Amino acid sequence: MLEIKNASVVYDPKTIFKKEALINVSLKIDYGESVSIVGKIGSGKSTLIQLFNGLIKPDEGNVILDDIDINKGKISRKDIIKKIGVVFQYPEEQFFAETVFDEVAFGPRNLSFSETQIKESVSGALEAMGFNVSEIINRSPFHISGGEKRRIAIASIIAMKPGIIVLDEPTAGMDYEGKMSIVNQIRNQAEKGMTTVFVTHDMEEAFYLSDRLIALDKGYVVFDGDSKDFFMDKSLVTRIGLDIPFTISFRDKLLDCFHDIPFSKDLDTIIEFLSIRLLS
Amino acid sequence: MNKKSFFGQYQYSNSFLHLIDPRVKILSVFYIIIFLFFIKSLLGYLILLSFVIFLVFLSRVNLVSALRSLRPIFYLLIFTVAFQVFFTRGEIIYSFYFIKITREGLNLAIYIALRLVLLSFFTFILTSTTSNIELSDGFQSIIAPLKILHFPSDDVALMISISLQFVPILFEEADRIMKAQISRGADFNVGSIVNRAKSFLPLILPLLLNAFNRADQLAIAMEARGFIVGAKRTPYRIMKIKIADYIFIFSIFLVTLFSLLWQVL
Repeated sequence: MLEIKNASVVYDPKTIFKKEALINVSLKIDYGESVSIVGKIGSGKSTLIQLFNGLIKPDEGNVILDDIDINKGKISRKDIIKKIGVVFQYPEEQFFAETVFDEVAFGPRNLSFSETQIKESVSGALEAMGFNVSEIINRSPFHISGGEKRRIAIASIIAMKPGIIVLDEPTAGMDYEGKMSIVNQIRNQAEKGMTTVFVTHDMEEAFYLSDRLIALDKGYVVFDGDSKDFFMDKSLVTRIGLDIPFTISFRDKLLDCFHDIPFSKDLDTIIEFLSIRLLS
Repeated sequence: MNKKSFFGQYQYSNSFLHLIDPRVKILSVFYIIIFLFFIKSLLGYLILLSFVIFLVFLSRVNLVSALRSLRPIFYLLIFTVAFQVFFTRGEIIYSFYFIKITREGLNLAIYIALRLVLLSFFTFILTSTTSNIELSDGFQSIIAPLKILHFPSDDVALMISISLQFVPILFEEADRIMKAQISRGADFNVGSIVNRAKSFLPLILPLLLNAFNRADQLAIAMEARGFIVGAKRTPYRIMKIKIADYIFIFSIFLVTLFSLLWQVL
């Protein structure tokens, strides 16, 4: 379990650029959960995930991973990374290897996996991200499409077999097709039991991917609970500068005519309900 | 986002030094750097050291960050001092087996250490009180007279200006890539020197590739907005020497003269 206890982070303290990125943040993420962290740009999302794997230390508070405070020196960096894998924004910009295999194997090699384990984890991770392993493995990571690059970058973290995978805006700057491909692969992984923390400012994705949602605003956690409850509280969603997912606003507009319309994350379910009702 | 500022990063303030004309500050630092090589007395260096500490207070920049500016030259400082102490011949004041410390070596080590510290402090004050735009404007204005000799001063100034603007971007990018690679288990501080150098490959390669991509995009964007190499340009910000600038020039001149006179007298 990952727990953040009363954490605060201040950038450039004692200067006019001082920014309180996180203020007294507390949250818990259990293994097997699928959580979305939402908030508009500058709300503290990226800072929060850097706390998760100890890349930055909180100025106040604690980060506890499996009952160990990661900032008290009792756990090595590699042990943290084995438990929490973080996919940063635009992860394809970190590529350096000649082949996709070497790029994805970089993490497992650093974690001292054996050669057999490396081959197995690289193949597994590429398959999990929807690749034909034999076709992609020897290609250059620089000469493939943008969507493929992004999926390879995610695979390079999955290959390290972390207990929790944190994805920071994994679909940023992508077209609809690429976006949906990544979102579906992540959802598949979450359904198979992988703990996923999905950081985004795209509410459609957050709603579709996770049942639990944590909302940040100006460094504060303003909501932590069921994503359905969050989007039902329209005043809160609007106040913190976020949008209502289309599926919810579409259903709301139809409620006047169809009072028994089901609540669903899936637009297809609503359309199916409508077509049955209209035909009857 | 960087949690710590890097060496010599501009620190916004309204201090006396921040308001000094960038040309005056650039030329003063050049003058002092050259002048440092002419001082041959300990007191001369100490006068300059007191002056630079006074300037740090005057500039209202963070004192800790000023001391931190010595970090990049720390090993150079240790190596130079050790080299002078152990390998300069002269009057032996201490010996232990083959190690012989001479008075001349010790003197030279102190002078060189002070020279490096002063050089670092003055450069720090220049970069932390002058924004990138001011620096490039100042430099452009300084080299403008070279146009008479058909030197492409505008283009050189533009190159410097773009390079300066890229510095914080590259630092942020390096920080981002480093964090991403650390999250993939990379360790930049273990093993032999060769292994350490190799471990930097996952940082350097993406950084260079991204920098080339950015440069490419910038060139295209500039051309798309009508940039022509060698075209005649007019400055947007006009710089004027003020009374404060004259006071600053006079104080620099006075301090250097005083520290030089001390060794003559």
